[in-house]
Amino acid sequence: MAGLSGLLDIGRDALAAQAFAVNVTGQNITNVNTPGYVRREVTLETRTAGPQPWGSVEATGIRRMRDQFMDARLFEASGFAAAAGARDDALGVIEGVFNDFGGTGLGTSLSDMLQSFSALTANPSDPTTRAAVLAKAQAFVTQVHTAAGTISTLRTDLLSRAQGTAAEVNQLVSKIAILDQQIAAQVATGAQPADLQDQQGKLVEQLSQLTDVHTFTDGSGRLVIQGSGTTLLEGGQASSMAVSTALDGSLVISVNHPGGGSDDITQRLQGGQLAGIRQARDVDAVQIADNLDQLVFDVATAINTQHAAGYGLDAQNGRVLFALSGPPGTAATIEIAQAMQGHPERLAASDTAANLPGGTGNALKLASLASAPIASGGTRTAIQAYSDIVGDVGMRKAAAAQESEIREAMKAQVTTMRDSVSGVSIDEEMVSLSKYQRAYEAASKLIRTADELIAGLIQELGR
Amino acid sequence: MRIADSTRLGTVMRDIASVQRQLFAASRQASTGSRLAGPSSDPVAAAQLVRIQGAIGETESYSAVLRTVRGDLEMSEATLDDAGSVLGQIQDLALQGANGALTASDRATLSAQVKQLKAEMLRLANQKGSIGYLFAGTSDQDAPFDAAGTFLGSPQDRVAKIGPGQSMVVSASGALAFTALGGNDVFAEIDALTAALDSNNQAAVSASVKSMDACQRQIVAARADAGTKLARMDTADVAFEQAKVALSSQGHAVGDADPAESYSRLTALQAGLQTSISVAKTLLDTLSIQQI
Repeated sequence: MAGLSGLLDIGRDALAAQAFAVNVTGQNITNVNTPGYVRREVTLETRTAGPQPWGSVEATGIRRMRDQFMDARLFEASGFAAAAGARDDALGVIEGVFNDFGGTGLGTSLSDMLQSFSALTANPSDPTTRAAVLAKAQAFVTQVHTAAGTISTLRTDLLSRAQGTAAEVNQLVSKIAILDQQIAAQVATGAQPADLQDQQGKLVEQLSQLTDVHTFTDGSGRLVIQGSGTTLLEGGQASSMAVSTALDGSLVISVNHPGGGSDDITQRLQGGQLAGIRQARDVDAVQIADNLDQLVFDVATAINTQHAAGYGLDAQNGRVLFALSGPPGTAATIEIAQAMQGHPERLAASDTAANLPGGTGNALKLASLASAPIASGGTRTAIQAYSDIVGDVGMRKAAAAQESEIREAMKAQVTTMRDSVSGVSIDEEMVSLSKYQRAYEAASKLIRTADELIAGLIQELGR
Repeated sequence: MRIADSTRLGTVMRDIASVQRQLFAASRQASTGSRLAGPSSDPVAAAQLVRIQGAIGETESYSAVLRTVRGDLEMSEATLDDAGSVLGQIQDLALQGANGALTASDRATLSAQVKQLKAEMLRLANQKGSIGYLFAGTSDQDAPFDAAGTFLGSPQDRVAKIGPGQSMVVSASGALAFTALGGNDVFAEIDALTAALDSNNQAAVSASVKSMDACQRQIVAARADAGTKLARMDTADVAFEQAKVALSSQGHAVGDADPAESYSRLTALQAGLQTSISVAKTLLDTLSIQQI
């Protein structure tokens, strides 16, 4: 049976254990708002005293309250949310190009140009009317250049952004690798590197917003990061990501491994900003630009063909109105033909030289192009084909916005679930604080009682 | 489920942000009156709106064509009316000249009057409108008749586009009104009359009376034709105005926000935000153990 001095030992152990628990609680409270912080719980165990049936208490360590499965889901959810957000942002820029409800955009200039040929039929010999037709054609060309330029600039920006993101990925993976080495070293000494693990967890979460991330620990407890079918970190060795462009200008995202060899993950990316950037840049923007190029090519070709059939006021025929190339690239390169620039009198309104200057035979045919199926393989009018592009852009942007919203909601839900395991609740910590405080006070009382008993015994024995 | 402080605060912040986003969209809608902030607001409606705006532009362009050509055609009609009167006067002089009691000197006097009237007739036939010479056909930048009354213009009429798939002749044909292409060469007939008067040839003058009558009918027919075209333009213009109204109202139906609905939505969201904020305040103030 433990003697009175044993009681003092028990009290001492209790004071130490409860004080440690108060410390842990204090750390939790302090870090309530710290991103990446995983709450700790103190592990209290009975300290056995050999074969004796009694013992005291011992704080054997702390437990980081984290659920690997939940973390994995969070990485995935935040990756998808970041991808959807990046695509949504990029499409917002393109949507602006086709948002001309105010009547000053590309659609209006296309319509104005086509209708200007009707005005030409009313007064084909009037220099002002002719100049207006040429001005409308020039306005259309300018608007088309603006639209193509905006999409092209966006693609250039997105390339820079992808390269910046890859640099950020490399920086994060390097930091995670260093932390992984430090954690391994501490674990080897039997320490619990919870703070380092928190930092590492936070960095991995940041990484998951940039690219696909799946994590697990290998047999020796080292962190492995994989994503898009390749390995970014294994055994403390970080791979590096690089972004370049293919011959057709599309992104090539590759991962180079430290031991040599590389993987092209471009087509396999699903999550993270990089995936959203790639989707917006090399799928959405390319398809929209292609559609615009085709529309501009179809309209300009139809006008050119008809225009060449007519006669200018100088009795010459065979001239085209637009200088064309492509597609692709038609929208960016279309110009008013050199021979027509500054020469409204060369507009071919008449269908014969004999009917000059008031003949409108060709202007009538040019005006009819407004309602003729000249676009989309001869199935749509120019305005219908343009409205198809507007609808397509709107649908892409709406789908991206909706997906972004859904992904963010899913991320919020997973975050809530993860925080229900790892997050700090001040209420809970206050209860814990009181609990450990009371235990500490009780342990003090225990020591005081033991002390009084010993003092009383000494007094009695000394009498 | 454990509710961590970050969850409580995060949820409150997300909820308020969500209401604020909706409120922003509703304020934009209420202040602009437009349901569509961009094509993504309603892609189908956006595409439809583009087509409607295109159709409105097309209709407006046809109206503009009608406005441009109408003035000259009205002027042509009035000018043909004047030409008819002048020809009537010539016809009267021819009738007088056919009178057997007239002397050669009387006929010479009549001839001088007819020559003046021919000059007036030429002035009318060479009348210029806002676009060009009214009766020159497609050669509208040059006078269609020379001093002798020879037609130098084009028999080809000017044609304008006045509707989808529709074009119409928008000039009165000088060739049909004044030249042999219409059946009678008016100026040649007048010349024949003056020649008959000058040569004191009563029989020839009598013959001219008939031909003047034919010329008169020819000019009246040309004038009637111009009138018919003007009527057609009127009909087309009314149709375009109606189409424009219909298209505009379609455009409003597709693109506009219902003011009452947007206002009530705005009010509801404002109230919602206030509630959200006060609920958030309550939640954040909710009894915490620290306060006990």
